[in-house]
Amino acid sequence: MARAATTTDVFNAIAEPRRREIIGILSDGQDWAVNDVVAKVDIGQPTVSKHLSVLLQVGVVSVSKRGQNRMYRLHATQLKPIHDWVKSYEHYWTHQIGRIKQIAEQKALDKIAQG
Amino acid sequence: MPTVLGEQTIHSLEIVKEEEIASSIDDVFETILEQLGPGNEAPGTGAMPMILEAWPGGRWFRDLGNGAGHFWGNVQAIKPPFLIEICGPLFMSHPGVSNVQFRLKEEAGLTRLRFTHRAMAHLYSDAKLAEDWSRIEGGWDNLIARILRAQKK
Repeated sequence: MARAATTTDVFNAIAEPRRREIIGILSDGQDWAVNDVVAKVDIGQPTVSKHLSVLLQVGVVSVSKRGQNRMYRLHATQLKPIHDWVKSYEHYWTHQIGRIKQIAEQKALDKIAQG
Repeated sequence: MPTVLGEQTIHSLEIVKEEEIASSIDDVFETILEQLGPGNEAPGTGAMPMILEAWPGGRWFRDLGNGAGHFWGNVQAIKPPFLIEICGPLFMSHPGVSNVQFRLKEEAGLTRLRFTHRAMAHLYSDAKLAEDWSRIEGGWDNLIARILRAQKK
C-alpha cells in the first residue's frame, strides 16, 4: 500500500517506520525525555528529535518541560480514527479484489470446461 | 445553530493494489461490476447487495427499501472493459471524498488489475469509536492496541 507524503497528516506521520518505532517506545503512556528515547533506538538524537517534532505537529504526542528536559508523551486517541479509516477500507478492498479474482478465474475455467 | 470554526487537519489516504487474474479482460470487467453491485459483500458479515448504475454519473448505493439507503458514490468514468472510476463519500461517515479506480489491461492471456483508492477527509474521534477499540487485531492493529492497553493502566 502506497501513501502520499505530508508531515501535516497524522496518517502519513505515523506511516514512517522510525516514527512507529518511537510510538512503540512511548506506548507505555509515560513521559519520555528525548535522550531516553535515543537510548532505545539505533538512531541519533537529531533524527529522534526531528521525528518527535513531526509527531508533535500532528498531535500524536505532547511535550512538557521538566528541568532541562523536554518530556514527550503519547496521545493514543489521536491514532484511533486514522487506524479505523485505513483499516476499514483496506479490509473492504482486499476482500472485494480477492473475490473478483476468484470469480473471474472461475468463469475462465468454466469456459474452458465447456469447450 | 452554533458554528464552530477551527484549524483541522485534512487526512489523505492512498491504497494501491495490483493483481494478475487468469481470465479475459471482458470477464474481469463484468465481474467487477457484479461484485460492486449485487454481489457486494462486507468482510465478516457477508452479502451486502448494492446497486451500481454502470454509466457516467450513475449512482452506486445501498437500497434498503422504503426510501432508505446509503449513497456511496457516482460513476465518474467508465470505459468498458478497461476502466471504472467512482467518486463519492463511500461507506464511512466522515466528511470526505474518495476516488476509486479499477484499471484493466490484458497481457499474454492474463488481465492485470490496478486498483487505486485515494481519499481526503476530516477524521475525528467519538465515544463509539473508542468502544470499538478492543476489536482490533493483527499487524498495525497490534501496535495500536498495545498502545491503548498501556495507556489504560
